[in-house]
Amino acid sequence: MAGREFPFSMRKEEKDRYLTSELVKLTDYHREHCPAYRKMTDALGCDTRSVSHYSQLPYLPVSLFKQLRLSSLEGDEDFKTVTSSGTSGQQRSQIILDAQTRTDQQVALTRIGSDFLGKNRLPYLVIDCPATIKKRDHYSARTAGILGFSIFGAHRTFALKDDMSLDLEAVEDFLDKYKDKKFLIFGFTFMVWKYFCRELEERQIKLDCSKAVLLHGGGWKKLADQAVSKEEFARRLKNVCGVERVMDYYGMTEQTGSIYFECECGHLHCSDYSGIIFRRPEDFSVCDIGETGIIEVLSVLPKSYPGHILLTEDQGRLLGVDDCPCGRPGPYFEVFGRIKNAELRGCSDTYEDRS
Amino acid sequence: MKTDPESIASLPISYMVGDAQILSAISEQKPLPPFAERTIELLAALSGALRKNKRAHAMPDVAAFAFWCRRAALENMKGKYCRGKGRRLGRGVCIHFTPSNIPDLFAFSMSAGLLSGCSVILRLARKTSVQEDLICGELKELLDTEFSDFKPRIVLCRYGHEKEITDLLCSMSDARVLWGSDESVNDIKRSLLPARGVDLPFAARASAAVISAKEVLGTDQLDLVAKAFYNDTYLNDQNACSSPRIVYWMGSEEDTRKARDLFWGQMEALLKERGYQVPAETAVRKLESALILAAACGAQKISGAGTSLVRVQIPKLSPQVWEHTAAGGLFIESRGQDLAGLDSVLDKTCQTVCTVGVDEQLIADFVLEHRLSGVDRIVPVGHTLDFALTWDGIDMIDAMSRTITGGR
Repeated sequence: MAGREFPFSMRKEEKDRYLTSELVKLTDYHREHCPAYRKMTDALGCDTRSVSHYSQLPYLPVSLFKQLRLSSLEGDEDFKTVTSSGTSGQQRSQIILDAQTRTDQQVALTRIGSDFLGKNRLPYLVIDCPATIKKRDHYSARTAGILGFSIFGAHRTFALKDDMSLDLEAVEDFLDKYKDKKFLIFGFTFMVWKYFCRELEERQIKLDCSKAVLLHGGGWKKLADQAVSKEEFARRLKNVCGVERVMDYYGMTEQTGSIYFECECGHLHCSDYSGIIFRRPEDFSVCDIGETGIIEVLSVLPKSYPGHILLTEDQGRLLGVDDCPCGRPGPYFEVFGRIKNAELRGCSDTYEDRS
Repeated sequence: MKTDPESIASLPISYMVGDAQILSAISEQKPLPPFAERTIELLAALSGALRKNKRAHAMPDVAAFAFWCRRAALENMKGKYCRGKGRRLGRGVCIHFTPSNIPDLFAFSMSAGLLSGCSVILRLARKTSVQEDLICGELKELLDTEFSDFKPRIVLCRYGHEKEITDLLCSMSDARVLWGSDESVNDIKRSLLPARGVDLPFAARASAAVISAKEVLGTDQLDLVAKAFYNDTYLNDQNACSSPRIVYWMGSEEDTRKARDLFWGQMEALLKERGYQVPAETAVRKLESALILAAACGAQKISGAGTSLVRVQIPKLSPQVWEHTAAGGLFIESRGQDLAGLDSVLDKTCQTVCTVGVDEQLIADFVLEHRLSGVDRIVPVGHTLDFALTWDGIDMIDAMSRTITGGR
């Protein structure tokens, strides 16, 4: 993998072979090095010798990292623990990263990112406030996003003040300097909508971001609740700031690096570093193309912790393989947000909404 | 505390049965003795009305409530209760807080309050239900006609869980019945009862089943056993506190292996027949629990991962397994020749033990002999959800009434 400069090179057959072989190796590796992972996969009856396709390998629910500290490092190795509080400040995931895995993540992110954004660093406008990255004890998904995508950016500028109001002066200053060439705008979907797009609309301000690429992520749930579609989101943004290219991504702290970007055709793409599977809730069997299921994410990167195959709590569907008009080979898909939290019957536990 | 009608009328409370005026005067109602004839008449009339109601026929839980409070059943409860009891009267006003996920629980709780001789204030869950609609409708009809004497004694209401209202209602009450999670029970407890007030807290519990392998292998009615077990578990998404989450097999290793295959095979067929489906979130939650049990509690084998019936085999049970159970069809299995292997989970968490082919007395003796802190109730399979006036080891009638000693 390290030799490949180009992160979108493999077509289905080669990809299946490659992913299966890499993920079997990782599964064996983690079974050897992480006792808890060994116990879990033993209980599931895992035997990698009989695996012919990566979809047969065991998957861990992402939420498990909130309950267990899973490490494949020897006791005295140097490591860093990254924690993330999902969206609502509940229990945090604990991800154990050593230098090697961190480097691999950075390399993967850079390569995948450059395929979409180009090789050069771009002036970087963040739709968030400076305080978000200062509160290191609250290492949120937002912090991770802002810092992570910094590797594509230069001259980082925050568009919001710490009270979440629009820092128009800073934004205009930024645009004065950089608006004539390609630049990057990044923010969480809901932040971009509420504190940028809606704010500009209400104050009847028009900006010139026609050369920008707007990268946003973190889910549509809140916007879908307000009945804002993807198309509406893009249309209204174009109207207030002229941005042509609006780009979504899908990724999580538990699998940093092997991120899924949205292409020019509006599809999320697997890179050579990652795979994606959609499973039916009734028996976890693999969905057909076009069929909605629970998303399983696969990554060849996690070495210091057994997070290479994870079952998320999101749902989505596979749109196709190798035939996206954008030209990138591999699977492409769309995400619909969190799986439904249907209320169970019963008496003793009035279930709290966990989303 | 003074409860003047005007201040109560100004509170944002909506009334399903009763009104603000009745609520403000409810403390003035005189108590009745437990199982007073007039109380029995009212509940029996409610039972009759519900059994005649066509809409109720389609609702098994409403039918179960109507069956529970029919006259013969009430007389039977009375006979059992009153034997050897002294002279008793209700404590006064009892207040009930009921959850939404078992829609007819409020009706049982209210009945227990009335049978104890108390007047009843009951706060319904935020979410309304058709069951509630139906039962309240019939009750109101009776209170407006032949049971007008009971009208000042019953208030069923709901409000936005404002603490000030809970404070006020609790201050008017002599006994309090709390149903819910530990969190919600503790939450309500923050509102004070009068100093002499008593609490009947029914907080989160969990339950186990003990199955005799020989019985499963020998019976020709395994389909009925499976149906009964289905009613104990899947009927309420295995989320009722009395639904078994641990299944303990009694028998030899060989017998148990065979019995397991038979029993779970039958359950799988039944789940398919009933079209039972797990919501996606629950399916993931079950896998998570099963894996934690493997990582931290010694689970050796997970079967049926991702399906509506997931089983986790743990050779040696520990109290920690209770923390990692999940609802919606996750069963923790263990085995032993006798009950010794179950001992460690019969702790404060364990409410009900349901049995298949195992003498209930055997389990009762085991609990007493080993002086265990758990197990309040032992029932045959199919009966875990049956409401009883003694719940979680609390005799509700006793708790909500008082004895008068002295004299003859």
